[in-house]
Amino acid sequence: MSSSPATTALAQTGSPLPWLPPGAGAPAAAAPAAATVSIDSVLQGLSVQAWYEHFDYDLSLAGGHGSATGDDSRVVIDYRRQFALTPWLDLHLSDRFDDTGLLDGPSFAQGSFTAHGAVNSLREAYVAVRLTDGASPLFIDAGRINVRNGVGSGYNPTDYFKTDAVLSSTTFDPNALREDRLGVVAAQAQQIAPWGAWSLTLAPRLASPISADALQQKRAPFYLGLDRTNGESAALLKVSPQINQAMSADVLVFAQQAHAVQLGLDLSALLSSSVVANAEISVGRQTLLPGPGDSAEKQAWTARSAVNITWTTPQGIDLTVENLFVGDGLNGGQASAWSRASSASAQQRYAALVEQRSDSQEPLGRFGAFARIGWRDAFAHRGLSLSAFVLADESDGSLLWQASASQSLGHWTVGATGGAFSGPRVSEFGSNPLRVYFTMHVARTF
Amino acid sequence: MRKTLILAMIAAMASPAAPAAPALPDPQALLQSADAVRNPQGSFSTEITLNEYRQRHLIATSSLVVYSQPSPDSGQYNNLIKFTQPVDDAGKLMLRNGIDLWLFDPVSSASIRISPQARLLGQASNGDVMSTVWAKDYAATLTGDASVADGDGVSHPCRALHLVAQRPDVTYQAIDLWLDQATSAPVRAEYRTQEGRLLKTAYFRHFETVLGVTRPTETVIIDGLNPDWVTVMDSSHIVARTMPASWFQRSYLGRFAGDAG
Repeated sequence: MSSSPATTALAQTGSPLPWLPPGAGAPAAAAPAAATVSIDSVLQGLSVQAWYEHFDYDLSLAGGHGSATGDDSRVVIDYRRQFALTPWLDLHLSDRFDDTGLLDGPSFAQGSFTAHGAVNSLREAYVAVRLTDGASPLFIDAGRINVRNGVGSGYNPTDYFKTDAVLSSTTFDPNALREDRLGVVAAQAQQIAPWGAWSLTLAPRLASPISADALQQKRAPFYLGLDRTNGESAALLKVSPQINQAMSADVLVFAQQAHAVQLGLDLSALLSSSVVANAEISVGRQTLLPGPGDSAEKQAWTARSAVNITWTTPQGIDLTVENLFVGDGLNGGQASAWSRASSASAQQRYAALVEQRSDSQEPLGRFGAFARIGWRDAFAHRGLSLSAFVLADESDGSLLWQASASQSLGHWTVGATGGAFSGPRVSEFGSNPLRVYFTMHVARTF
Repeated sequence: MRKTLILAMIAAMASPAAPAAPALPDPQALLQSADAVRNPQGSFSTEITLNEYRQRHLIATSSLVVYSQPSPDSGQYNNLIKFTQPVDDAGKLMLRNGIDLWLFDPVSSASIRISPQARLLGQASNGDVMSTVWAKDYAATLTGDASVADGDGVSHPCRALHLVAQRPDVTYQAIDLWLDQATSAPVRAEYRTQEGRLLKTAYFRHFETVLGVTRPTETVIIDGLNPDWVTVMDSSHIVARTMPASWFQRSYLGRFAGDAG
């Protein structure tokens, strides 16, 4: 047992804790927080953001010639709030309003975050009722609910309500897309018991399913997107038993009108004091993506999975690597065949496939990989967050990468993000006319 | 020879017993006494403010509410932490049941498993703010007596203990701990790696009577490598309370609404 430098210094100075200013402690720091309580209580949950966006396009990938660059601006008003109306009744609201085009941006906007103009995303609006108390409380939710599942980092095959649900975003980060998307209009029951929990979500059909063409069309600013989220009736049963402290599991059964039932399993385990492993798998009959020579649709039992490991270094850096498998995606032979198909109709069919998989947030290729690095309070600098990810389609050799930095300054945040799509011209990411993007933003959060 | 032996036996029986050496205190019992000073009995909640200083300048403030409930299985505390400051973290929840550690972010409505090494509180470790029973996690040995200065510069006659972690997932693998001889209150602690490298030095101070026992309400944590990096952790509004067991399940995190929920 040895004496620390701190102890020695204390003994030498003979004064109490010379590293602290006089009067250091909670009361002095608590005062400014108290002064902001009134404004916080009114505007709590509101974030107002101003964005500058820069895009570089390769127009030859969209049937044109040459390249184009564009600068654009965006204002985002983001609001998330939970109101406790009574001890047993809560109201949840989550909305995002984007207005772009305040600068003279490019008229060609394919592949960018959103089309020009105002877009409102009503992400959530629902009431949550606590029906019973005690050891096994029962809850009923009703309204537009963002039902998210999955333990994957770059891909979530058991996140069944993600299809076509993103109206607007300022990033291609899969995690952020989960946060920005529209919820599904549903009724949900959940019970939490000593053995674990179960939930049942029932989503009715409220509109005709959206067509591929309609997905690209500009809508009225306050379009609700029910054809995106509730184009088909769906039901999801989730059971989450308590296994042990080191491992957890969710078992899911998802049924959707005109689609085969899917079975899902999410597993999460602590491997050591610094390593967490996750595995996510969904199994069911799927329509296999075709090669250029396939005319008839083929269906087969197949699996989709994401398996990852996250290591937290002693410096607090989180490193995640993830393996992706999509049994209905294009294999290497099919991807190669598409790259050799030179007819205009083949190119159009391929572009439609890429668009459809992008909108449904499903990888195009059968094999993929994802890696992320994140560092909160980077370089021991409080409020500085650094992150980067790369998403690779191993079937066609294309990839998407993005790097971000942000600095939090109390209620203010400034940040910058850059990214690029690269790969062969006929590939999941290489075919995107958007080649490079860069954004900067400043946000005021209440 | 036989006569000599009998006389010796009689002499031994007649002589007064040799004075016994003062019994050394049981180090594990001392640790339990220190735990009783650090933590109220039963379930309780407390508000914690973390002020982080570098070179004597305040650089960050975080506020949390910690809900602690003894686990019926292990006797160790289950902890649910609600972040209230800074605004970027407000509403986030961290749940710890033994080695089970979860972070819930209201923005994504997702609970993700994190490792004990994950950092969310600046220089403070997750274990610094959570209620823990040292006697459950560590084996203690008595290393001597010493006069030790507390965080206010006042010397205390102390018992010195060396604690060795009994599980790999605890925040600190070894602790050198000085307890006030009269009260068993912690005066100073040095948190170390398994190899003995100093990670942090903690001074316990601002003793107040809370729920019937005089307890430290402030801990000053000094970084082992950079003594100019100091975190002051203040506890307030320590309230004994009953809480539903469901609060400490990961599936409940999305439903938790603090005292209302």
